[in-house]
Amino acid sequence: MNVQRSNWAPAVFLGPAVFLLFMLMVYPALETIRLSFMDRLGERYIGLANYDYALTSPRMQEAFRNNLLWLVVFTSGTVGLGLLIATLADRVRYESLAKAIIFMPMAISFVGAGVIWKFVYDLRAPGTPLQPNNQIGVLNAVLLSIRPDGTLSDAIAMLNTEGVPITDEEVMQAIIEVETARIEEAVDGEDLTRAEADELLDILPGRVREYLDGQTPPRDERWQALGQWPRAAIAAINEAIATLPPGSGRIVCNAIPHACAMQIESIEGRAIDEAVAAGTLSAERARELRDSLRAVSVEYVRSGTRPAGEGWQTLDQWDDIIAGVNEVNIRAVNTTLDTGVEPIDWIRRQGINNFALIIVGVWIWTGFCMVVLSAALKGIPAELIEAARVDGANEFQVFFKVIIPMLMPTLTVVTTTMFITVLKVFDIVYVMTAGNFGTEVIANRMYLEMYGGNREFGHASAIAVILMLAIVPIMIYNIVQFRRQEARR
Amino acid sequence: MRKLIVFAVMLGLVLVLAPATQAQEECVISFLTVWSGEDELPNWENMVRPFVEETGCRIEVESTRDLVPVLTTRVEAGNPPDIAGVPSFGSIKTFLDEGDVVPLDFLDMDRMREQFGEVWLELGTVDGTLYGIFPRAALKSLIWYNPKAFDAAGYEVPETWDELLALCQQIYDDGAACFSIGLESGAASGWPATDWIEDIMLRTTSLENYDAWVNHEIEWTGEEVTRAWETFGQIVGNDDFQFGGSAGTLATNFGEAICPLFTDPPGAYLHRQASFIQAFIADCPGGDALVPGEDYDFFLFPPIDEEYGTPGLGAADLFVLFNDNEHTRALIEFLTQPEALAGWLEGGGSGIATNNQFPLDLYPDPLSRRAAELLQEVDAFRFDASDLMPGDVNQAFWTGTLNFVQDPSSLAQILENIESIADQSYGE
Repeated sequence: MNVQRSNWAPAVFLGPAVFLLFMLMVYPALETIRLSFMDRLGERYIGLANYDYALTSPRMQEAFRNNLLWLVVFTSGTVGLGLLIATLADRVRYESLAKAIIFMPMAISFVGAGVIWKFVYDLRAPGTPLQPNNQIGVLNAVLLSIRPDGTLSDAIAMLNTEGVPITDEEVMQAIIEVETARIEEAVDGEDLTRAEADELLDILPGRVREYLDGQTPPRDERWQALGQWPRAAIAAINEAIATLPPGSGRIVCNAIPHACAMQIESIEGRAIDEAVAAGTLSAERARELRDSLRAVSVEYVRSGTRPAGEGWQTLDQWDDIIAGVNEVNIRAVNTTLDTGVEPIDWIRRQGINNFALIIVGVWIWTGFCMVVLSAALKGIPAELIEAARVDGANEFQVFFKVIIPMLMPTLTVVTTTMFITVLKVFDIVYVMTAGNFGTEVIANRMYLEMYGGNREFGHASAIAVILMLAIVPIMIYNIVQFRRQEARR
Repeated sequence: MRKLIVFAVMLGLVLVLAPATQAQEECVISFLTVWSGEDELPNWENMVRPFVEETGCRIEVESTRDLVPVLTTRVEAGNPPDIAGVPSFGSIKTFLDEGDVVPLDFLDMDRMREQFGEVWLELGTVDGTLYGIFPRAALKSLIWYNPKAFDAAGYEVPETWDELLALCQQIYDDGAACFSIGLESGAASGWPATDWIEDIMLRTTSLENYDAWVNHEIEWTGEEVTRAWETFGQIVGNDDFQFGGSAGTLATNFGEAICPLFTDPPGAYLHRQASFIQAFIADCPGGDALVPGEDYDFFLFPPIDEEYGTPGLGAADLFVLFNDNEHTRALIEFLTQPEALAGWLEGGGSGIATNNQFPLDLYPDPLSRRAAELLQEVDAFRFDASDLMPGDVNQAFWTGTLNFVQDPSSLAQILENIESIADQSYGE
């Protein structure tokens, strides 16, 4: 009796597990494979067309290229850093604290990490000294805070050496006057109390000084005329320039070349347009002229070098234009003050954006590699290392000749795990760039084929199958390795 | 046993007769829509309240995000909703062909012609018969500006594209940027640029070509589409005309792009966006204090080629009728009345009444009144093309605009790419 019953008893116990496994794993996989041979809505058999698309379409090829980049950079980054930190932390007194901090990003969802890093990489439209930057992205804010020169004070100094009679104090005074008047108005209008106003007036000179030295104006609504600080400064500069004798445009140009270059650029640009309209200049040549116009006019202002080539319309008037320049505008001062440090659009500029995204992945996964490797490190018998040291090996030799070989099985498992992770990378890319600007990856393409537009069951399934085919061998290798490692214990 | 049989027969009778008698007594109109309880549905209820109170009819709303599939199932099952709000005639073409949609010939066409612009009747007409009405519309062809800053700088509202470009040059010479554009919108980044190109397309080629473009009857690589992109390139291909250059355009979120109009001095002077952007202005630094009509205002996207005038780009709700009876007729009739939209706006809803007899003072603020006036001025009206294209093409269109802003010289390649995707998508 007992023997008979045991025939179906295993089936009863295994049944639910097998059923669930089949429903949740095997069936979806088979169904995906089936759909990958069907048309968009999974209704008609279309052979290998979906695979043809998945392997040859430009969007997918971009994705394959990027996945390869991820594979190399991400894997070496996570495993390399993980190993480095595990080794270094091994000898630190606060090891668990250090490791906990490194491991922390693992606790953040990938979408969350994407959002966080999107802020880190954020770019605001570039600011200028007179309209100071308001970068909220940490990286760009740091980048722009390194501002060796290019402050308003520098511009004033430049004007001075060219003989424009103006000092920092005069510009400061102009700003203080504007701001004071507006604060008094606010007191009269009862927007500010007397005490608040006095407090502001007290710190005003200091703040204006800082502004001249390149700091952003205070961001506090109690300051009434903040937006007018640049205007007041420019007005004061213009006033000083107005005291110069007529025809002193060259002086202004020497101090602020862009003021004159812009005048030339605008007049010459208009003349080129007219020439094209009149038919005396070919559209193609006009485009070439326009493209080089800025560089050419700046060069002319700086050194007097006339541009070569046909087609320049008002070349002989350029000197007159310079002589006639009597007004400095905000852009000219800004451009001249430009230090050349420009904020970088980390996630959109092609060539760096893929690395910017990979760094986010490395940030998340390094902790995982570190923990696993660290555990393996602890498993290396201390006497082995002691023996090596006694034999006269230095620390590098100990690391490369003893520790690394001992870690090899674990390193392999960690590396292959990273391979699998990186092939499936999706969240970071989707959240941060949605695959735009040349950052497409396979999993994102799969998602977009399915949900980004047309409900392409066929394309999405084919991509899923290809992804699966890429991952399965690594997984099998991974499992085999793991078993071997276990067996060795 | 006999008792049981009698009981069964009685029960059967009750079950058979009950719905019939109920239908005679009560008037229920079913309405299928994509509107949901969170946003527009309360406005709709507000709007039809006078009708409900007057007729005693109950309007049963079925709300779904997947309108076309649901509608298809119900029509094919012989159980269509009485009235449906559909995205376009294109999406219900089969029903039109098979005669499932009821012609609205019971409406007094003289009155309709008097109260609605030709544009709206034309849009509601298929093969000479009126099938749909558009009580509410939204206008996207708006360029926002700051009137105070404009006055201070001595600028004037441009009336043609050339004037606009000249103004941009002037603004640049004066030290600021002309347009502030923001294309960042997560996975949908690029959509504001598609609106730009659609507006330009409407102004540089015929309406027939625009419709052909939507249906992929003309190619993306063709002359018309290329010209529209190139015209857009006169702004986005020129770093001087955009706040922060093209990098700024790509990195700026669409909702924040209007803010540089309100700094002192302004970083930029113009911003092209649909009317919804008004809700975002309050989020700008100091935006709470800005007064509509004084601190910000808009003008119609100017004409580019005189021949094609100034068409409006936008959205409008299309209502079609599937069951013809006195109640449903009355509801359609109600929706075409001059004051039909009053309840919608009163409840805080946004939109413009297409009925030109709608009293202007019922608009909640001067800007929606201005938008209503502008809507009467447009020479034609077309729907947002990208919304009508297959999702895949729409996606490629978005991405394409981003690549174009980043590198205008790659235009040919971008258009070829979209064309190849469109080729595949429309073919299916």
